[in-house]
Amino acid sequence: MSNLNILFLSLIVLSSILFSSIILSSCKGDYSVNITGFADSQLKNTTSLNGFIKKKISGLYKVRTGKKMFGDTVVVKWSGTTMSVFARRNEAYMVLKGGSLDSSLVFEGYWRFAQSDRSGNIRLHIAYMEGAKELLQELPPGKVILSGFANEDGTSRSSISLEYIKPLKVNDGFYIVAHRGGGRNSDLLPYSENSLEIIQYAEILGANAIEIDIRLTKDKEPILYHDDNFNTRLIKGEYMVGPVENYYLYQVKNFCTLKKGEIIPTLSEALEVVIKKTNIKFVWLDIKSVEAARISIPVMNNYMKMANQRGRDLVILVGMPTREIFDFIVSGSEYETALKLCELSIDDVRKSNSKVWAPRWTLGYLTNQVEAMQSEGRKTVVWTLDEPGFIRKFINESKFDGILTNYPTLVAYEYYIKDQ
Amino acid sequence: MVSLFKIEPIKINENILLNKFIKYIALLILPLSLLMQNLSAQREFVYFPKAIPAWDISHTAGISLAILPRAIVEEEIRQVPVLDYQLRLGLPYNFSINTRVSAVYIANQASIGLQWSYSYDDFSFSIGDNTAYWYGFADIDGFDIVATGWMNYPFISIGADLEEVYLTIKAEMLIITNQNTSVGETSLYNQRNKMAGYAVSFAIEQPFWKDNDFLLAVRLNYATFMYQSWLAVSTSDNKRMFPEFIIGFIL
Repeated sequence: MSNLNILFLSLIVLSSILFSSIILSSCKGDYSVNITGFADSQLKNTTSLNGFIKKKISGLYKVRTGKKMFGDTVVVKWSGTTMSVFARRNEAYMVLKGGSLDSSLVFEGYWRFAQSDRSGNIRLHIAYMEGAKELLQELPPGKVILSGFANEDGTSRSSISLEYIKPLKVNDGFYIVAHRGGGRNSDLLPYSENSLEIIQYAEILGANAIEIDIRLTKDKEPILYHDDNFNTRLIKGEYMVGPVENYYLYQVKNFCTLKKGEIIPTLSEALEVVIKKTNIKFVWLDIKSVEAARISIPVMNNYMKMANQRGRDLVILVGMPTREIFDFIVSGSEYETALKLCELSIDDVRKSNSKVWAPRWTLGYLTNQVEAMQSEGRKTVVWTLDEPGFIRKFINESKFDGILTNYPTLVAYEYYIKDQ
Repeated sequence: MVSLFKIEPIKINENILLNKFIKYIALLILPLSLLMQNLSAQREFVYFPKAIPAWDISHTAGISLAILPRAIVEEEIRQVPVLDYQLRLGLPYNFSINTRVSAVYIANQASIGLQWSYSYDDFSFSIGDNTAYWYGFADIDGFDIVATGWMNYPFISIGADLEEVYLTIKAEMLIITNQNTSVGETSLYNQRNKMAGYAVSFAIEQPFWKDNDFLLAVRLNYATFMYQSWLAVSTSDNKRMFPEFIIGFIL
């Protein structure tokens, strides 16, 4: 073999090793987002903010600095003690806590690009002369400027400056429905899909409604779980493999957890949390079997009563995704009073007297049918819409009353920016 | 909610399927050495980066099977066999034209490109670029959606002629040029020009039976998008592994 032959053969072997190494080393089986927070947090010594300040800070803001990350405008919205900022560019959002410190207001938290694993810490201030003076005295501020910085991986640092333009419009009944309680595991949220924790996080992500998946255990307990089987995509716990209906509730509770360590909740636990710990207005039960519908509807009705007694503005609806479940629910007189959501045709919606029609987004705007449903006093919600361009188009051009999505932050941005 | 791809309820354990597939390939390859006979001096190849005589044609027909990432398709069908046809037309000055057509009812792609080859002794090198147009549609229950797009695949490949076997390694970039999706009466056009990821292929072309040759390739796509997964309408910017197995007969 000549020297050149040896050289070529070596080149091939080295290339194979190199290319394989590049592919394998860069492959990420599981992406993750690790929010570390600031080691020198300034929130420790702050006083919590009152309702007046939160209300005055909420609004539409112009991005003065940081357009590369967040675009030209952002929406700032409070949910309890958390301030969320929603943007279109990069499908970005921020989640922050705030407090007053001396004569200024400080906010710290994290930012995310919703459709990738890019994230980092963010710290913003409202300086004394940039709105804090009036806000602390509970006077209408002449201007509000949120300024500070965002970092990524604790290193690179970008300046951020947001200037208040106007208050947010009042939600006129549009449902921003968070898929699986808030989003899928693959969306790298801080909590697992279909957990009690993600349900309580949904409003921080911009949702005012949730969809949750209902399956039955072997002892006929409705639980929140999406897939047919226990698998490593959704749970931790090697003992649990195979169909959900093969396991008793005590096994589900004791021998596995969801991916972020949460206990798999029952339907009752989930609805209790919705009623007592959130302001969610709409719960869509995505029922996975006829038997699950039979067991879940009485539970749902009981919690609807509880919500009414507490004066909660809430509807809990049983979904009818298949003909089989539809036929079962329509044929049972005991299910007549249950609030229903139908994914089938508008004739089926009428036949079942469903309150909500929910077609798949891949059918388009369906304007005539949507208007027909609305003229009969029914709501229309489209599912499951994640494509940013289509979210914008559906909000601006279609007549649906809501969107089910894995990216409620993006739907919230497009909704609040519309006609502004 | 009704599942995305649940046209019919198919339960597949992907690990078992993959194991079976690998075993099947192994069983197929082992007897090949026994079947080899009548080696032709003019053996044909499609992947091997050696130049082919001007106006000569090499082509292969077979199937390819891509395994779609669990994070994108979740519990739905992850593997769909696709009919695969590749053709290489020799041009003067060591250039050649490559074409490839992959089709499976709801997801189809056709590509064409140019490559230049250089050989020394038993080793060959080539560099080139392929442009692909893909088309997908679904008008089944719950769908009224059509998607099309252009992709670009610049590549380099090197190969060794081991007398009975042509061994090729190919590295490609996967670039999304644009994409158009229409649902119902509305459509969305995205001008992306975005790097979707890259791919490495390992291909073996060897005699099979009499004058027939056989192609076996594994292509490891590490990308944010692959046309076969278009119906999932994934919006994730994170790259995922899409392994693709290609088996063909060189015609």
